Amino acid sequence: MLRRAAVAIVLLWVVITITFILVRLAPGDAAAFLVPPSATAQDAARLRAELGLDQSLAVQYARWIAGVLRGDLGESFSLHRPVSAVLADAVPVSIGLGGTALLLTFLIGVPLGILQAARRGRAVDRLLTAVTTTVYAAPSYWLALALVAVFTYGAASWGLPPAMRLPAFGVHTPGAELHGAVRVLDLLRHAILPVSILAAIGAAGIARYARTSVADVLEHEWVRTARAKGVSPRSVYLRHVLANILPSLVVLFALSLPGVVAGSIFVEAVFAWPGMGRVMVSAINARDYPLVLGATILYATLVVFANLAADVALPLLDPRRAG
Amino acid sequence: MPADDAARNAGRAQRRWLLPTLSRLEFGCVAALVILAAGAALVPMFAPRDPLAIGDVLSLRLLPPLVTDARGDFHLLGTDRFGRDLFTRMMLAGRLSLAVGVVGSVLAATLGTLIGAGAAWRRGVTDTITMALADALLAVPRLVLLLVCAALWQPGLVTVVVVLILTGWMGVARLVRGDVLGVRAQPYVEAAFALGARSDRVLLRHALPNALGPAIVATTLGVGNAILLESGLSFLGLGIQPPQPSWGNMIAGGRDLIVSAPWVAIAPGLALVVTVLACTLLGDSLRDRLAGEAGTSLRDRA
Repeated sequence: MLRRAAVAIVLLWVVITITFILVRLAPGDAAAFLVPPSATAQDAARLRAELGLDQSLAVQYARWIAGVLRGDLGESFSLHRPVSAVLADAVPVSIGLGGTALLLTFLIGVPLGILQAARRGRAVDRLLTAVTTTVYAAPSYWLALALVAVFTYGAASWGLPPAMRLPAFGVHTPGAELHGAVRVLDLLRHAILPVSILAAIGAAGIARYARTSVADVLEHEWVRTARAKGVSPRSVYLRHVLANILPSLVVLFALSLPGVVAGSIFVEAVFAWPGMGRVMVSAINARDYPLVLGATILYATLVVFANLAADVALPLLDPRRAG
Repeated sequence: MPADDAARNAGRAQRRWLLPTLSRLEFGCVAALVILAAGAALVPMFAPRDPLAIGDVLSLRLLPPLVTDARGDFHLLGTDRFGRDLFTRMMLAGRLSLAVGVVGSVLAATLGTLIGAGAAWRRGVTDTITMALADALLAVPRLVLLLVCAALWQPGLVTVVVVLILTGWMGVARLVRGDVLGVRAQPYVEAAFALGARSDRVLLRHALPNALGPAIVATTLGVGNAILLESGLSFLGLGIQPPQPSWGNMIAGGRDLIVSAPWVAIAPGLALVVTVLACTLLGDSLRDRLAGEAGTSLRDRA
């Protein structure tokens, strides 16, 4: 356990170092982006000194590491706010979006996979396989555009009342002064399309996985024994089969985090959600090094800790792996 | 005549390897990919107009599919906002997307194979350092890593391929390392050493060929993934740059036209879905075939 935690910390340190090296080695200088065209060379030099870009790489690295350890990720070049504050604003949005989608992913994907395995080779299974494989192959931003075309613009042109059209941009209706329950409802309405996209793609992947692993489990002799002694089919699936694929599902939960993160970057870009993905993309376009580094480290931390949590949870769920 | 029989059997086995019996699904996937590749190669060559040049925008722009314009050109999929033929542009984009996907994932897998095999063969410090590096890079979601790298260098074709290679080698490296470590303990490796073969010869001739199966499957599955990632980068404006068409930046170009001219975004998206679907299904069935040969060893990894 301690060893695992130590490995996780070393991994994070390597990630931080790699991103630092990558960002500083890249051509293109933040100062050149930030000064107006009319600025003189002195102005640019002063800005570089202000941002600490004139120091040697070693000094910049030492400062950066010291800052990270204190929880200080520097100041965003383009937004002139502390990176930690920018990220603190964006993280809840992404966690809310990704977390809800991840939950739905498993709630929909696992039953679908079990259903497919139980009806393997029949029409239901074939149809679902075709659907899940296709959805899994489709780019999230393209599906998002299709949903916007149907549920936002299509709904409007069919003359549906505004309450039945789904908003496609942002997290709140612009200009509306909403409070309390109405505000929450408004947020939920804005969340329907982005969450559906992420959940659909995720569920397709999980269903594909669950189908294979349940089908493997069904081959075991103890399934036949359970059936022979009269255990109801429902109980075979819920008590015996599910218990056996649960450990691998927990690992999958941790492993599907990067996918949700990646998906949410595109979904946030299409739906203009002010989350991590949008912060990342706009920081990259502005060459905002501290913000890019901070966001990358946050992503890596998330993944490393999710893996650590899965490692810890695995022996608890699977007695065979305990001790 | 046992010798003759053996020769005939060997010949048959070889033919089966060269022309494997394809299932209907596999045949469909291969056919779709071949047709797409042929279209991508040929259509732009025989197009009546330059798919990058902008002509009489006002009279040609946003023509719906299956329409003949005033000049007498037939547009199978209609035209984009600059009056350029979408079908030709889609096929031109297909060249880039397919090439980037195949080259990117094959080179990434090659690099991964070399690193993984090297790490397993040398062991010790080399192994520890390379695997720590691989684990660290795997801890960053690949898209985030891609975005960082793509943004650091000039966006464009070469950058996308290099970045796909730099962010795609880790998975294969881990796979190959595990398999080479397993093969290393086999008696035939020991036998090769005992016969006096040099270490690098044993690795290249005996160990590596026996550890390549999973790497090949991972590469096939990686092609679809690489195409999807390239299109995503291009959609965000960090990949292939207009006027050079790519499926991703064509969808981005149709983004604000989804109501008035939906075909602009639908066509390249369908091309993407078909390509990625075919690659995924082929990879899946290749994995099942190899798993049948190699027992169950592949199943829990894939």
